[in-house]
Amino acid sequence: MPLEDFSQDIVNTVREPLLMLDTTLRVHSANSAFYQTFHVTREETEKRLIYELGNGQWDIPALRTLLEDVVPKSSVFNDFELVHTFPVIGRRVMLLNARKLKAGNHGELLVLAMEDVTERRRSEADMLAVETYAQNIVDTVREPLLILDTSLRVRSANRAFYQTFQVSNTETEYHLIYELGNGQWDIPDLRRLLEDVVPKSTVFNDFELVHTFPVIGRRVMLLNARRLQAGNHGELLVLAMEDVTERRRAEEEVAKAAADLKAIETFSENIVDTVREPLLMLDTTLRVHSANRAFYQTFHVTHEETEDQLIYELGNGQWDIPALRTLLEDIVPKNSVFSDFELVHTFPVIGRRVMLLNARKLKAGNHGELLVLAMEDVTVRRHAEEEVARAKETAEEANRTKSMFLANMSHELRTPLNAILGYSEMLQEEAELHEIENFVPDLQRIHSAGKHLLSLINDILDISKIEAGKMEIYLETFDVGSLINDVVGTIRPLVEANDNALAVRCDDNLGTMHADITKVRQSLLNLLSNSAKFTKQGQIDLDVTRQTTDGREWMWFRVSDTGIGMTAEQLLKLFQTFSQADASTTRKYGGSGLGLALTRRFCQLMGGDVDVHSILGESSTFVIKVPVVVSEVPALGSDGTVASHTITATSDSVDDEMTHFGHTMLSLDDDATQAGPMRRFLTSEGFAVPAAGDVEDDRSVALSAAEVR
Amino acid sequence: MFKILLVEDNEMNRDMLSRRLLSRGYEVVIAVDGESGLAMANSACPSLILMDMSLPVLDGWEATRRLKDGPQTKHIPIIALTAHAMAGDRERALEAGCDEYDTKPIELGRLLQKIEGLLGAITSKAHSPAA
Repeated sequence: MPLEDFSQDIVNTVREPLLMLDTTLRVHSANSAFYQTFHVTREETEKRLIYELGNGQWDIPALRTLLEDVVPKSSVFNDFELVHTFPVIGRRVMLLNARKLKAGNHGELLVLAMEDVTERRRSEADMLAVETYAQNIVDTVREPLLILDTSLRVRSANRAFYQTFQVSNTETEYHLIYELGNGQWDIPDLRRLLEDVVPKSTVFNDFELVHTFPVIGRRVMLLNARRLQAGNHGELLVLAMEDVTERRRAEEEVAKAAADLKAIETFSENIVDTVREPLLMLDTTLRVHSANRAFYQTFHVTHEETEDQLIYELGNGQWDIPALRTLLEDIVPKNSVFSDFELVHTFPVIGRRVMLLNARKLKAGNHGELLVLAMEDVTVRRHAEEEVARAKETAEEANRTKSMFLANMSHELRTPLNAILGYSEMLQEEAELHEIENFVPDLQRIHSAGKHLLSLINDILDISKIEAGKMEIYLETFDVGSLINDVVGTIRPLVEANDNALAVRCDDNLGTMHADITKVRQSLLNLLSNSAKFTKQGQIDLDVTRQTTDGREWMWFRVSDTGIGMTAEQLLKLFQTFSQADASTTRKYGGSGLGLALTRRFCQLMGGDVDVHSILGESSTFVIKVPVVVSEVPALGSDGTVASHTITATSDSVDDEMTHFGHTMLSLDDDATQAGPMRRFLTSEGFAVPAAGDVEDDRSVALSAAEVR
Repeated sequence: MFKILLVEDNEMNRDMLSRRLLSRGYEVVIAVDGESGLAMANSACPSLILMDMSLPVLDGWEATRRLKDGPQTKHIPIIALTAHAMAGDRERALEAGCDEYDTKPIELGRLLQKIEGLLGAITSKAHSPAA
């Protein structure tokens, strides 16, 4: 009995519920843990069929299977897991262990030990959920993770790892990290990390590993590791590999861009410093952001005196200039750019300056908006310009003075000349009257020389008047036929002096014209006397026609001769003052060299012009073209003079002359070697030079060229 | 015989022109400035006046205006003579009341034509009432 009590005590001490069943499955006894666990009494339990316990709450199919099928066939079974929801104590997970015992006089007993693993199972399920969750996270993480155990074998890896390194599970798990992918992870740096760094610390960050992998190429990896106690997995090392190859490249590019930017900035600063004109960079409050070397040098100031100063305060307020204030405060804010603002100011140190200010508003990155003020010192240039203007004014004044002098002189010269002409004429008359005939030729020479001198003086007077802007035109209506008669009467003796024939052809109804008759007459006399002078035993023609061009009526006076003609060079200089064909011509033929220049000026004053063309050694043709009705307006300036017009006429260059005559020129030379050079010369002077062969052909070309004109 | 008043300040011109007119059968009276010319025109009653325009004391233009205002002298034809061959001179002379205009130096033939023209007009006028 004491032994029985002892074993009963043991049974009761056992903390897990025990149920002793007899072979009919009736409860022989239970221990106190059973009663406590299931909240039942001994009376409700002993001698009861197990299935009837607690109003049948133990009638569980799985238990029946166990007790009736499993137990009879074996003397022992372990860890039969029974999940059941009991009415009183709720859902329980029981681990049933049974032993069949020979219990002396009690016969065979089945000891059913019920281990309540409800809590354990719950925490195991939780654990699993956490592990799955962690694995999911690990798999979701985009950076490759490698979980190593303490022997540096791979426990697991995440999807990112497999994808990044293009390897499979089986190639990876349970392999030594150095053996992965045929040893491609056997990297000295990695060994150092894993074997030296990791064992001494539980965590390390951003170990940068640069390695060229066989499959995926050169990579820059940022390794982060954590040592974790992973429950029953023991200590694990989580190795996170961040592939920063792209980032590094981007960073390098950014760094390179920054370096480039810096270089550009330096470059532009160098440029700014190299620029020879002073530059001032102002911020929007008109404080100096910076200035260039030229600024400091020009104004003899230092950085310290300049930067961050209000522009008006620079150099003790020497930049506080009203015009500059106007510019910076009124003009600049309304415009993003302005050019060539001229500022004249006397600076204390550097004296009076003329500055040309140019400004640009610039967005200067993080410097905000800047105003770049470029100051071009044009003092010297302006001075030079003023000098030039003064010199020009002086020259023009001198020219006017000269013209006035000539005008006055020629007037003074004419008074005594009048006496010479008058008395020689009188003496001539008296010599004839008193029949002292032998005096007459000499007196005639005196008279004719005087007349010549008078005409020269008159020409000089006219040119002077034109150049002084004092030439006026007097318009009147006159009969052209009468004028021609008058002119022909005057010129005939001169024409006949050289045995020339004069043919005059006029349109039937020339009628009248409204022009300055004196100037038309003088122009005609000039041309005719030239022809008479340069033609010997030849033909001189005067053709007068009315022409209509551009809806306007013109009177054309064509004077042509069979005289000595002119070379191209002579033609070019023809209408310039004091220019005869050449000096020898003057000696041979006399004249002032003003006649043609005057003729042309006269015609231009009347809104017309003179054309010429000539064949050397053969002929010259001049055509005076004057409007039938000359209007006051074109020739006269607003002040009633023709100053501006005549100045233009006086300054006529060869090129200007070219535009007025001779669009087409024929060059005739019996010396074939001269044809090339002459053609080149004429072409270079802007003439069209038609091809010409023998003399017969040339005549026809000349005629057709004349027609074109 | 026609009497011509020559108003001219330049001695040589005066001498020359007066002698040539005399040799052509004209009677010539002389004045050396505008004022004396004016007096002479009134006292001598010339048939025609040759008036230099650039005269001392009283210039030719003013003298002409006064002559043309004078009841005794306004009918006397005046030919302006000037060395200034400027277009304006001719107009100014005609404006002042001159009947004709000629430039110096004198071209005697041309001047005589003008003189004869003006005197002929007077002659025909003088004769017309009688005719």
